Amino acid sequence: MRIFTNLSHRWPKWLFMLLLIFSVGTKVLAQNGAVVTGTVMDEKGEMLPGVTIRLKGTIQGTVSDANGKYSVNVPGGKGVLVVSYVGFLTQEVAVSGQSTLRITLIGDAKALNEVVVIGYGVQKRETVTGAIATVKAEDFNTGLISDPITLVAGKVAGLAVSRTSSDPNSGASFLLRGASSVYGNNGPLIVIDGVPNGDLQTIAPADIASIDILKDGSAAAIYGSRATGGVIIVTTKRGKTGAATITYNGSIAFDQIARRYDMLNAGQYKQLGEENEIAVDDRGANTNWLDEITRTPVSNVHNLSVNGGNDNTNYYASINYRNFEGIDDATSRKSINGTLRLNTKGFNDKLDFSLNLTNTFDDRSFANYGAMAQALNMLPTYPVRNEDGTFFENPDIAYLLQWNPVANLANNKNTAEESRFQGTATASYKILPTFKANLSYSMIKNGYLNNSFSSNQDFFQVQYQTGGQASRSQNNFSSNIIEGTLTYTKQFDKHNIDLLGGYSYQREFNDYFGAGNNSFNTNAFLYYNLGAGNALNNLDPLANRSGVFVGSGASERKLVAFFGRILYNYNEKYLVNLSYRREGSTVLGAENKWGGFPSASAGWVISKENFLENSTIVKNLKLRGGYGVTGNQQSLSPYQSLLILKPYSIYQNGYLGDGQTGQWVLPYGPAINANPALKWEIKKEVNVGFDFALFNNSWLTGSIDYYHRKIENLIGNYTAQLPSQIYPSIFANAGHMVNKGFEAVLNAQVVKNSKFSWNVSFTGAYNQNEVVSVQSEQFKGTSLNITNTGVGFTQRVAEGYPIGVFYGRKFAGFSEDGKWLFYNQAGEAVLAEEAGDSYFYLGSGVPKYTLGLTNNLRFGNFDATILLRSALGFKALNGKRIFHENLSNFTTMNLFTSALNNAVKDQMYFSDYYLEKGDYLKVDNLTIGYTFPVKSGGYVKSLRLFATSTNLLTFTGFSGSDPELPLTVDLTSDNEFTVGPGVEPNYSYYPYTRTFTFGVTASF
Amino acid sequence: MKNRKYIYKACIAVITTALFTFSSCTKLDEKVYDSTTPDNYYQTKDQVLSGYVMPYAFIQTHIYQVHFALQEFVTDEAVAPVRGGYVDQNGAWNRFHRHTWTSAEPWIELEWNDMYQAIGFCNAFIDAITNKDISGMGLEISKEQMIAEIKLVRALHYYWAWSDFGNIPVVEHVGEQSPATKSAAEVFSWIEKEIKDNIPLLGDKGDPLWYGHFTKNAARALLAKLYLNAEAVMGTAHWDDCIEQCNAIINSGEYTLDEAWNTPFLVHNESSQENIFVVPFDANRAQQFNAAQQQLHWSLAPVKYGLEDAWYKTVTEESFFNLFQDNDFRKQQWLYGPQFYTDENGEEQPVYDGEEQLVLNPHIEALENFEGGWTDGVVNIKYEVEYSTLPNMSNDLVVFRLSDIMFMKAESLMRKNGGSATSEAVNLINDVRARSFEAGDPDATYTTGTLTLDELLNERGREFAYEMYRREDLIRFGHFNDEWWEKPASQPFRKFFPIPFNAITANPALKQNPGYN
Repeated sequence: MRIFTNLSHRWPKWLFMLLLIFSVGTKVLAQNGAVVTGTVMDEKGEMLPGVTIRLKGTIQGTVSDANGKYSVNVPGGKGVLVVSYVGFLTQEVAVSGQSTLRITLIGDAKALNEVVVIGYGVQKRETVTGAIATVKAEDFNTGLISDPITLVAGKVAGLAVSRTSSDPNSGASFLLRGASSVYGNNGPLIVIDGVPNGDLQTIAPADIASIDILKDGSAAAIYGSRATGGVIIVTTKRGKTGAATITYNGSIAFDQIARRYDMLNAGQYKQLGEENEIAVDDRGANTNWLDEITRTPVSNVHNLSVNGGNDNTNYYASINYRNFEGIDDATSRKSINGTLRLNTKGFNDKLDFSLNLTNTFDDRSFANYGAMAQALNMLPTYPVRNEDGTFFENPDIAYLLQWNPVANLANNKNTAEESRFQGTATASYKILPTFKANLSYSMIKNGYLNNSFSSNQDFFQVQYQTGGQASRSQNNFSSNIIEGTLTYTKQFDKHNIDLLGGYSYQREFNDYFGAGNNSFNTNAFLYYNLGAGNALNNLDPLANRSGVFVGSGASERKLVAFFGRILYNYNEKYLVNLSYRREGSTVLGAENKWGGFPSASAGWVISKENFLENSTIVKNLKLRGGYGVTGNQQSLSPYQSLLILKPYSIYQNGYLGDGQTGQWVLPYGPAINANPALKWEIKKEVNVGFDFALFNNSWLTGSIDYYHRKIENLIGNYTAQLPSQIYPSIFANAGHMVNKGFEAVLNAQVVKNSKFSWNVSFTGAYNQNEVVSVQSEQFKGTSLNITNTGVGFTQRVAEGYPIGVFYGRKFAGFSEDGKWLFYNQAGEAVLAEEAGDSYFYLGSGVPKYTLGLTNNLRFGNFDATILLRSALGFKALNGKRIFHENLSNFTTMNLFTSALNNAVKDQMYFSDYYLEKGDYLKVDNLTIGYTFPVKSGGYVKSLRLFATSTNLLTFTGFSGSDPELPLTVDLTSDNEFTVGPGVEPNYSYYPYTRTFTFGVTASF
Repeated sequence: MKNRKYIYKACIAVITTALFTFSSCTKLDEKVYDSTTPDNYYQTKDQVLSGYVMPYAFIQTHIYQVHFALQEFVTDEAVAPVRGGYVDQNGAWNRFHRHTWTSAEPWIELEWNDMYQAIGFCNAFIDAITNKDISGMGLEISKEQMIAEIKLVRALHYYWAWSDFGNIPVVEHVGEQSPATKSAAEVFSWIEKEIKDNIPLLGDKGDPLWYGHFTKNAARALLAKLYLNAEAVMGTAHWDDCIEQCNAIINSGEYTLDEAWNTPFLVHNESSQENIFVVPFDANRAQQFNAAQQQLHWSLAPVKYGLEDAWYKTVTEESFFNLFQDNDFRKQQWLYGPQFYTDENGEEQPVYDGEEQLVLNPHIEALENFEGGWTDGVVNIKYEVEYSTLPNMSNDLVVFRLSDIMFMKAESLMRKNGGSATSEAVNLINDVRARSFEAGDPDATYTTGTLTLDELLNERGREFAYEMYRREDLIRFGHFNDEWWEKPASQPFRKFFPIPFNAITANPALKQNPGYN
């Protein structure tokens, strides 16, 4: 730290508290040799290096050198120079014969002059009244990105991103401003290039230009029915005017397990058995099972794009290839993406036509999380293979709890071939200079072909005598969207008006077809010859037909909406934003299909008032506030309001006959509890915030927001009244939930000069969630049990507590003979059997605080970025401890080394004995880059090398694989067991990895 | 002129947008693709029959999987001990054994849900079919008879729920809001009337579709059960009513005792002349009766029966096993001691469990054995085990059979007689018992002196082991709350299960049973 102290007198000391350093540099040294020369400086007179100076309408240009000097060739001495630099307003400077030009860039109101994407349009950052965060491509996280949302992890206050697994086939868990629903869909609406409900997997991370996050209700309400979890708007790159530029990005990455569980080795296992007088099944081996199924994966990514255009037409095309390997031997993902963007003008520039086409193909091979967990279960005294080379198996262990995970990976294959297409054609026509009509048609068409194969040598195939199984299923999703808008933009004196009216229609269709067979006499076919299985045509009444099936299904949902918006400001000082969306959804009850979603927000740019106009401290200050209503119906599957009949089960036929002659009849009955009263889940949100830019050159900017959101008519899969319903649960609306919190963003340009720059960005969020009520006419409950990790329910949705609060016994110690003691309601320590109904609320698994800190440093041609992320204030449950520290499991699974000293010698129970503090601080991303100086006019326009490490260091007290745990409850799972917030379950496992990426970016 | 052109274009734009608005339609009715609705169904014979079998088929899912557990694990007849520390179902079976279950017990909630789910399927079919004209479809069964049968399936589930929970709500239509708890006496009257009202509409044994369905006598058997347990459940005795129904069944001549004690439980027990009402099962087409899988030892099942994945979960307490004398044929329903199987050459071979021969010990060391206990407990094979790789069995599960009708009548006679046997009662029991002994074996017959109520309970145990009557029997004979192996004496309120916590949560009109909070 010391070495920086002489660099600037204006650094407040507290900034030094804001940790480490480094800065993005995208500078290319300039070369002289031209007609017009000069310097570029900022308003303060400080020279600016690396400023791009281009002759308008040509590809000629240069960049300013380390002293801010430039020279550019202007043929004929006449033309317009376009001067641009990150963080400054782009200027056009006319040249008419001068040979020197001093250019002063107006800057540092940078965050305020961006254009913000707000849904059906854009708005100047300066006039925005809602809580909207924007992250541009240059600020994205680098490294090996498998889920695009991790590009902005730690960059957006209030957006909690949890990379819950290092599996390249799984996505990250993310929440905006806390849980927004008690069931299912909690996540923000994803809008890709204007297409709502897009799939982030459709686009390549390298093609993304910016991500805008509409956080509060007033900003999101224009998206009405799906915006309760917020809106994430992804805008992809488009072509720039000029000659074709070819850009190549490539990288190669390696992973290693970030943190291992300490399992007993064979010697320790035998020792523990002897100490406790339990017979040890010693087969003479000392196997580390996790080592046997993992590897050092090598992944690589190549992106090639070309863009260019003239004044009427521009284009951007890219090919992206990504090849990921998982840490386990089975997992891989090969992804290839092709993208084309075309914008063109016609009819005297009145018509704007654009076409976006993106197609992605993924070939995936899936991890078996159960087999990964089995690597922790398998006894260390067992060998991987028998002496004859066959896999070792021991079916004599009760309940088939010991099966060889190495054999399992070798004998099973689960793969998918996925394709995702998104296409949009948009035409907009300027009827009048102020009046524009816009019509767009979008189509999403995704197909997922899933394949599954179990060899006839697989342990379970042998045990269940199914003789090998194979199945395939094809799932299709299509979405057709038509949207039309009319906009009117007009300036009267100092009144700025922007009106929007529109209509939106979306139909989504899902369908499925699948088939499976068993009993194959060869493993040669994998899943490519289903008909070869013997079971399908074996009509022996005792034939084992498990795995034989043919199935198909389909469902449809539609949304229809009308919307309008008024943006008004007076002199960009007093700002008003009103919007309304009326939307209907097919999936709701007949009487409740339509909902209205209004919003109003206002802003006051105080710094434009006279009393602040000349302030040396306050350069910009805007107060803004808003109220907005949004809805949610996406959590509901179609047809929940209808009384529908289906075949009950092909395994439960009814008998019709006299006992001697008769037939089995497939029974039909109600398939669900119909709820004709289903209605919109409604969120009402108030947001108050201010944006500021302070000090000289506005070197410190930021914003602070407070929000209060109340979510009513919570959609959930509640316990049904049984009687008189038929099934134990029913989709219904009940109760309400409140989220409130603060968000702060600070951005400091600590140092910026020709040699060195340092920029620090901090994002912090505090969220408090409370389920106020879960009652309605249809559901009278006060709680719902939600998370079952294998030893009963451990979490609840309960009145007065945050969603996913831990609920269970309170640990009071162990009795003399090692039995559990728990507190009863009277506070006495009693044995488990006597504890009866004494359960307690034990804390929340969702972090209260999420923090991110980004340092960008540039030092000459070197640049560095360091991202720290932290989540604080939550309890975490390592479900693996419940099993692997319990001596009663000794004969059926391996234990942690912690069991040598602290083994539990009683039945497995969940209690707060197993709850730990989940707080963590991560050095999540460390990137160092070097930008080569290149000759202007050469073939190479830019060249940069970089190295990134992700998930480098984690500071936490949590004993599990990683404290980045799920943020939401997976209630939609059909599994008996479920995962909730803050829970690492025992039954599944995928180790977290540390990744090292080395890459190059070059443009030509 | 120029302005007019703009206006013209604006109009086109507005009209275009408006057209989209209304032509793309704002109708939001849902269209179904892979399901149908009641309005469009029950239009043909096959469609009506598929709805008619639904409530029957649903019984398959819960009678052995759940109902069995609640009727047997709470008694001295069946137990699922912890072996080598493997605690199944988070210890539910042990809590059942020790009578320490709470209202949050998932398996009690399952039983409740299953009963009312079955009732819901009955209600849904009755609601859907009552006003449909199904004449002219060529059905071999009348609408009235179908509805009467489904009402009996409903009454059967109300009976089970009444026996389990005592005070329960009664609903006859899907969707009634917050139905309230009725007293056990009110529920009794409802079930009694329901059965009586519908008996005349039912068919008889031998009708084309009688098997596994409610006939007049199956309905009478249910009514007799209701009367038999009336005093224990709600305090009012109905012994004469019970005898009347038993007599009607016996005198109908439709049933005769099978010659062998195990004929009602064979794989092909559809030929039994004794069974009155069964739930038909099939290893592939009607699954979930997996007694062999749950009960057989994993070392024995593969070699002896071809079944690889057996659990050895459900075994029997030593005291109950000891009820069986060696000369009682019914002792053959137990696997105990050293185990053998017959190999492909017809030779008897020992079953190996690891290195040693498998020996099933009648003595169970502990209810919770954290070190071992891998071979503790005898195994019931009353239902014949077919050699099959499939976990599900094809034996039809017996709900009512003639021998039980005779026992019920005998018991009613004795209770009317102050608990002492009458000669009529003794004859009824001896008639059933005789086939389980060698002819002339003096142990085969009771006298009015030897057939005490306690002996009748023991004999019921021997005759009806694993037939899901033990809980009701122990309650009726006053021994349910006794102390026994690994179980302290329990409180009398435990004769009813608690109303599940989640059920009361969802419907505050339900009242918890006394003793539970």
